[in-house]
Amino acid sequence: MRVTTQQLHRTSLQAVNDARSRMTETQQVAMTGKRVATASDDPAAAARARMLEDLQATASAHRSNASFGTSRLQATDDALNEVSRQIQRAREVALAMASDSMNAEQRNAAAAEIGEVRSTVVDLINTQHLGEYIFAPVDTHTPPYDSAGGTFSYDVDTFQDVRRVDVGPAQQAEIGASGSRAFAQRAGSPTSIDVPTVLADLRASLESNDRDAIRAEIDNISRAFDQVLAERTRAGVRMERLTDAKQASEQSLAVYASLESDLVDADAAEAFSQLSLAQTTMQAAVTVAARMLGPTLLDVL
Amino acid sequence: MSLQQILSTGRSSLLAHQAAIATATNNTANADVVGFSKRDTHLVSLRDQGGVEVESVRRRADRFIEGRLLAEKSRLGTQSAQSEGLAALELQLGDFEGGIGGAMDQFFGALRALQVSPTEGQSRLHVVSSAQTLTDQFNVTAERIARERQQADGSLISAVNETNERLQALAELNETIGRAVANGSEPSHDLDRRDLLVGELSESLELTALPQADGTMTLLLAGGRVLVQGGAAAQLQAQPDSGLGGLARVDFVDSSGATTDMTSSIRGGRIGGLLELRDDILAETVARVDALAFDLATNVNAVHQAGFGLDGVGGRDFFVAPVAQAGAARTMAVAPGLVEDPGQIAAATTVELAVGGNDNVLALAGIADAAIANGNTATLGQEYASLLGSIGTTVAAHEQALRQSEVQVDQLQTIKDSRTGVSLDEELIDITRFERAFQAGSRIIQTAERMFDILLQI
Repeated sequence: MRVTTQQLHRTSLQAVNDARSRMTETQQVAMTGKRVATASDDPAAAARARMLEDLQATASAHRSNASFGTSRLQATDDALNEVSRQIQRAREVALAMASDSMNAEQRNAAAAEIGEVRSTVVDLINTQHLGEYIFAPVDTHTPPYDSAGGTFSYDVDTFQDVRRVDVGPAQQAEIGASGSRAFAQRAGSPTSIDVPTVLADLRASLESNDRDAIRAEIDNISRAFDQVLAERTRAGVRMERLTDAKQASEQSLAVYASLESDLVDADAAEAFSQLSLAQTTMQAAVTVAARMLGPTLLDVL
Repeated sequence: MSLQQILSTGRSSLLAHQAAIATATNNTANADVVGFSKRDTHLVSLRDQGGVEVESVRRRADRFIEGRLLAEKSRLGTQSAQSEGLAALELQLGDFEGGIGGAMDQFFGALRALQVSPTEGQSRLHVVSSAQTLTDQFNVTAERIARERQQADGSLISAVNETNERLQALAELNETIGRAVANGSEPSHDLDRRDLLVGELSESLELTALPQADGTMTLLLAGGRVLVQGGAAAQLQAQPDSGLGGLARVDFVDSSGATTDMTSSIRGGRIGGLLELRDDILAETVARVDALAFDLATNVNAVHQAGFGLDGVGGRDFFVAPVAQAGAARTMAVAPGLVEDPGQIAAATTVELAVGGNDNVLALAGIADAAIANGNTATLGQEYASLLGSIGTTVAAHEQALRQSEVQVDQLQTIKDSRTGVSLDEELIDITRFERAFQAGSRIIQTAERMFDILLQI
């Protein structure tokens, strides 16, 4: 083939340009560690990586919801546990004071103790977690129990549900326990009992030194104890579900991250061997260009 | 053969080789001139009296390669006209970690976080600020694409103007060449210039060049409209059109002055590439981004209106209700009342639960999982991923085609160069050869002179 001067220069220029652009590409991959940096590098992988980013963001939101729920349920469990202990103490006092050997003075002293127990229980019903009353069903900024009035501050029959949040794909979980179910007497449930009222009644019976009334209260106190325990059990189940959900989210996160990495991250060994190949090509292109453009007849004629 | 004849043979050799050296030096001097075709000196021997003469100095040409090169240059013109616009598009929408997609993730993430404590001020603020980031992303994306469309429009207008000048110049060259050919000469310089012009024109438009018997060149636009015939040139006209939102309409004005709107039919070359970028690629992308913004805003608003804010008021919009789907992304904004008071976020489904209820936040976050986009066939996230994928495909296909065209043009150019270009080595050899012949010619004259002397001494 006849080789012309412009052709010679263009071919050399092209070869050097190609080698340099290839080197820039491989450098980019080696430096960022990403095989796919933008959509056109691999459109299908980029689109899937976008969906995986989406899924990771969702899973991470679910994980933090589950974490928050766990800490809220932990606070709930602590409070319910303490309430149980207080009721247990009240029952012990009631059992002791139901004995014929107790006199009015002793019962009066016990009444004071039960008064303390009651106010502790009321405080526990109004427990706060991160600025919210955890046993308040809806308005978590108003104490659920009005300690001055001695009643619940909301309609315990209407609001029995617990706040639900998203903790997984199409999975919601209750984060907390129902104050109504744990502490209140509800219209739909004949066995339910108002815990602060039971304690107030016991105190009144002790103050009036009425042995039969005290005996009668023991039964109620047992019912109150069972009622709190039942809600605590439900909260425990919710906690387990949350722990499971959190684990599932974490697993999903790990899986999504590794899938995305498979799609967009470069294999380091390959990236560097490509880079060194590109460097060699670059050197070859420059050397060859220099040799091709070097000798002309002008040098000899 | 007389001595006189020997002398005139020597003279013809001197003249012929002087002309040959002149051609070779001209070739050497023009070795770097783009579009220069090598000239060959064709020598013939004089039949009757002996000696040599220059029959012609002819310019090398290869019509076949020239034709293929034109077609490929027009493809290259199309692709390279779109490079900038597509790069900008990918910069805005090709990032699978950030951009609108990332902002959507954050917005729905903020809504999910609000579920756990729907009354908390910080969480509400976070929802509002992430919604603002999202609307910013939509605004900026729509704005950038609009700007790219405008830029394509500006490039289109200047490409049309340049093309018009070249068409006119080609028609004038046609006349000059036609006259020269009629006189029986080969106007090599003008032919070089015309080939260069046709090459440049084929980068702007997809066209066919038909050399005519009278030496002129007829140019046809793809589809058969006559661009240049003899000394008459058609023109393109790019004028802002209100029907295109102020962007330019491209009219074809033939040499008789009749106009035809060709905005949607010119697709080859740089002009076609810019039209395709402006009216197809960018316009379709903006429409998809608009649809995404519209679906997001209207669906969030519908759910939000059904709920109640901390103040127990319901029926409010979350985003400023979009007037129409077209332009929804550019004008997307969070409702001003909500920005002022994040307490207006309707977290609860009933007025009784206004403070502390979170059912409506569950519903709002659920929008992310509902098939509400792309005619209710995909979730917002899926639609965005598909948009990102299709932009990636467009850009990747473009890069591929651009590389291919570059290689093609380069190869054809190499073949053309090989046939018609200048090789310095070759010219140097020619010059040496002709120099020797010139020396030989002068020796003939010397010899004849000595022969005359000898004769005169008798």
